Amino acid sequence: MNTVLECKNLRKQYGKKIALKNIDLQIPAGSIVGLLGPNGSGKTTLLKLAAGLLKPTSGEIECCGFKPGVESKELVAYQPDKVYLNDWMNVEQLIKMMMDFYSNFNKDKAYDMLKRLNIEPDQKLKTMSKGTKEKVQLILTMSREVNLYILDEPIGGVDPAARDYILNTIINNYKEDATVIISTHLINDVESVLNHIIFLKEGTVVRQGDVDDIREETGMSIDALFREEFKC
Amino acid sequence: MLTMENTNKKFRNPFPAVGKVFKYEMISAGRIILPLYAILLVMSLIIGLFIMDKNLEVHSIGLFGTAKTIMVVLTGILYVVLFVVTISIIEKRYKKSMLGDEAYLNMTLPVTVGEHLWGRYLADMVWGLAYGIISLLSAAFILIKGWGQLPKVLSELGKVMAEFKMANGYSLISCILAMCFAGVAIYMLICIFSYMCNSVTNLVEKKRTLISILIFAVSFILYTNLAHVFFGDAFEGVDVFPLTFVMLFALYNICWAAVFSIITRIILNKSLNLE
Repeated sequence: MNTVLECKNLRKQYGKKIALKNIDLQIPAGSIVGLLGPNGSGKTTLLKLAAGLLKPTSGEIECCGFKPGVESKELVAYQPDKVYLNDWMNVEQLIKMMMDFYSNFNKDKAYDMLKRLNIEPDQKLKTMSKGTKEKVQLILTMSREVNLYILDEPIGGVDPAARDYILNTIINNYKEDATVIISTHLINDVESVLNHIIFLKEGTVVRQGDVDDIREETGMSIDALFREEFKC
Repeated sequence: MLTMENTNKKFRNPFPAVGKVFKYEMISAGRIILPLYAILLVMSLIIGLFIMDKNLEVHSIGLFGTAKTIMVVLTGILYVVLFVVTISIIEKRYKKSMLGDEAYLNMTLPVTVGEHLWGRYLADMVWGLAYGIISLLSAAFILIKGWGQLPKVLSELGKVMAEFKMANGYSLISCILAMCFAGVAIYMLICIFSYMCNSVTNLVEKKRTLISILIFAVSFILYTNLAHVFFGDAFEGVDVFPLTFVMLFALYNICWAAVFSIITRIILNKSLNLE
């Protein structure tokens, strides 16, 4: 099995608080993976470690065969759960910047998605709503032709009507044979597109596997299983 | 370039990435700094054209005279403010782009920490030089009515330079260049120190201001004491311009800047924590 993300005994601690407890994980290539868990379960920490924005306390993490660094950053597209873009730039300038730094950025794809989402390329970020900024971020992420897309709460900040549209944008725009990791707690919205899931609870992996196998084994939908597993 | 991030490649050409980081840092800071430079130049031109008389003096009699004086004072203040603002923007840009929200974009670019830092150092250097050039240009605008006397001034300057060389043994131009070099070294030391300070305080969640003050105090004590050890008696019995001392002092500051830069790089490479 080809893996795009591999963690060995990975641990991350913020002071005394343990965010990830020595997890071992292998994410297969060519799948849409749901990284699911309640707030504070360690989802964002795991994704930040993969993107190279955090350093592990101990253990190892590899993305597309590389430790987080220049090589892996060329092959991984990451979207954080917050708006990070330069407010003073317009969309066109952002696209130019992406093209400057990423050789695998597909400009035509970006303009096509902008058109479909009715976003003007000359519009400045500071004049946009939070939801529109998130859409621009998603367009910039999905316009890259990479092996691994890491999306942290891509539908968390948008209204329910826009969620389907965003999920369709994700599904229709990732490179064939690439992997998409979607972190969310809005399971009902994403369940239909997932083919692999990872349940995180208090920094440990409590369940992972193929969605169809898990449904068959438990007799429950992923949403129902999540509610059962994480009930307060 | 051998770094932790480049374990599979022995050499990575850093120039393309440094150039790109430099370009975007110049654009980011330029949209704030350049309008301020433009204001200084316009104010200098107004003083030069409407406030200075032919003898290059300001007549401050009456209400209009007071306004003229205020204008001159404001321009003087603007010189100092511009320098402080330039440093402050450089520091804020670093904080936002390497440790704040924008770092989510910047630190996921295929660029090493070293390239990020060198791109910024180059941009800082350009802004420092730009400040010097704009200051000279502003002075030239203020003295615009005296431009007719330039040939006379140049001939006087020639005499002064010849006398200076006789007295000191080296040319005035080499001394001015040495002073500029020392100025750039101190300016870069300030910029790189602010980067290091921000990187260290980013490692902790609380009492960041207190830690910044502590870092400044410790660095200052070490800096001054070591300077005393190296240059303590440099001025004793010296009656000519101390060119060698100026160059050594610049070198001393460059060494400190290198130490601060290494600390910053280690922190970003080993302990980056974007929260």
